[in-house]
Amino acid sequence: MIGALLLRALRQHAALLGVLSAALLLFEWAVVWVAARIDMGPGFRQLLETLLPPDVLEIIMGQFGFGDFQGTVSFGFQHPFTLVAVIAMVTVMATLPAYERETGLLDLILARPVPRWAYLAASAMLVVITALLAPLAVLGGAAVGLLVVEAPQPVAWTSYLPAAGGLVLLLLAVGGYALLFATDARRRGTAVAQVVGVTLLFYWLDFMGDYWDLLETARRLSPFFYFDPASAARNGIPPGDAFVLGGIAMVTFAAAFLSFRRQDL
Amino acid sequence: MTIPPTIFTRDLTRYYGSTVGVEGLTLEVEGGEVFGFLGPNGAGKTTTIRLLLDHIRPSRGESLLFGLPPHDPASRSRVGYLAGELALDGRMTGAGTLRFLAALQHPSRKEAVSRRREELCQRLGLPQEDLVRRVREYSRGMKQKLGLVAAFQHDPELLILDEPTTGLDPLVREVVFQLMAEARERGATVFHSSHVLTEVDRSCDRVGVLREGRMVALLTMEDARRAATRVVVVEFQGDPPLAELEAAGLELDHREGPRMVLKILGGLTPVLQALARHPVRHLSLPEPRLEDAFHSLYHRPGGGP
Repeated sequence: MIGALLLRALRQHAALLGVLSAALLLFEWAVVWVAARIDMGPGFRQLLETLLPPDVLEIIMGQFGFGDFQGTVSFGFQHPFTLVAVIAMVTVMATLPAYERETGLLDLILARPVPRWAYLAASAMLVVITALLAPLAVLGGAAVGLLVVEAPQPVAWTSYLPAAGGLVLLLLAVGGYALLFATDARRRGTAVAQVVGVTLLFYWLDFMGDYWDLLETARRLSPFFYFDPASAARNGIPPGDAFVLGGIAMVTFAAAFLSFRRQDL
Repeated sequence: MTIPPTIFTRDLTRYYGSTVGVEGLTLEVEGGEVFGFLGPNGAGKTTTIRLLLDHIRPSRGESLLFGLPPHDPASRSRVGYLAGELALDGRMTGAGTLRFLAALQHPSRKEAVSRRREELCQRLGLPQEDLVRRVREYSRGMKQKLGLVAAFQHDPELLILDEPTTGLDPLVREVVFQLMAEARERGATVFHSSHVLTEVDRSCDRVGVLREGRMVALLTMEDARRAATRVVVVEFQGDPPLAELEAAGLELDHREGPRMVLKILGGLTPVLQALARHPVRHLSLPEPRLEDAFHSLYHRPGGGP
């Protein structure tokens, strides 16, 4: 039963998942290619030092990992294009219950002997698959790039496994609150707007926390605070960050199940 | 061991804010019965069905299908459902939709369901070349046929059909009535929700009439016909003897050209005797119209079953 629901959803979204995964793979491959050129180019760091104030340079070198080739490659895991694409993929999948409620298809499905938890379990599995697939595509791009591009320093593609793992956890957290919004919304548009609004707020909190002391504590509320691919590529994912992101995912998924159990369709 | 009624509701009530969806509905529908659920749009028919299928939760009261509460998925494993406003996934093909819905209903009876599906598609006029097309390309009638196949394909013990003939041509409607009759013959229960009196009249054993969320009548079709006002259509050769007709228990309802449509208020014998005393050009005694009986139920203030 869950298999039939999941298979149908995957078939419907196969094109979207395929195209975006391919785009992510190509994009990360391009990041590796550019990183190799930048690092090999003369005086790139000196150029940045000339152009940028020291505090901005520190952020770029530190937070975004532009300090060396390995760090620059990891930037592909948190580039705005990557984040927008992967979050869009997860949001589309997670808001499927709202879409099916909006169209009335949910009535038809739940008029069958399908328990509500089973329907939502299929939706949750779809989110999990997407949360695994998208970082895998980025990791694949890094691996292909590192294989075919002449790198200035030897870097194993496996060193990006923790960065991909961090992205999986971030996407599970986003997918969790997206699913929660979707179980409560009567229209997909409403759920998508809520996800976009909350995600932008979280991103802004984390980004601005670097510049604005007032947000130093508040940024800890943002899942993006616990996602640092540059650091993960070097030192692995800090257990605390994994715990927080995993915890957000578990709590929001559980809340989505509870909410859906009580809802009028 | 007693067999529970197929459908049981007690004081089933659902409010939407201050609006009544359905209120105090108490009903039992037995196995093998074709039950008509009649009422104008907004009377609460669809709300009742959504409560029975656990799509919405009651404000008070309870409902059971086969003795099981609606939130138990087992209660829905024996149900075939056709929604009044049928929503299908436009991106799927017709065949894919039917296979998907069958997989959710009875994954273990794949072959039997597949054979039945083929037969139903043939009878309802859904050829293979239509089934391979995406549902978004279907007309309203074709979608309705697809919904009917989905409801009947696993030979359910209870069919909940919300306006099943909407958008269908007369020939296909006939097939739907045949399918309902066949379902009854094999012992299934049919819960036929409609606002079309003639359809309920020809298909049902018993009828419940809803008005503004409340059941205002629950009677057998036989009783309903008996309760219906009979009329006589007559055209006299000369002036109509109105006073004499009134004395015989007739009341002028309206005129259709030279013909008068008269309501029969009492027995038939004095009417025939009164008419026999005058030269008549035309006389007909149509079957009692359920419509009249139900119209009076719809418009009577504070009616109850």
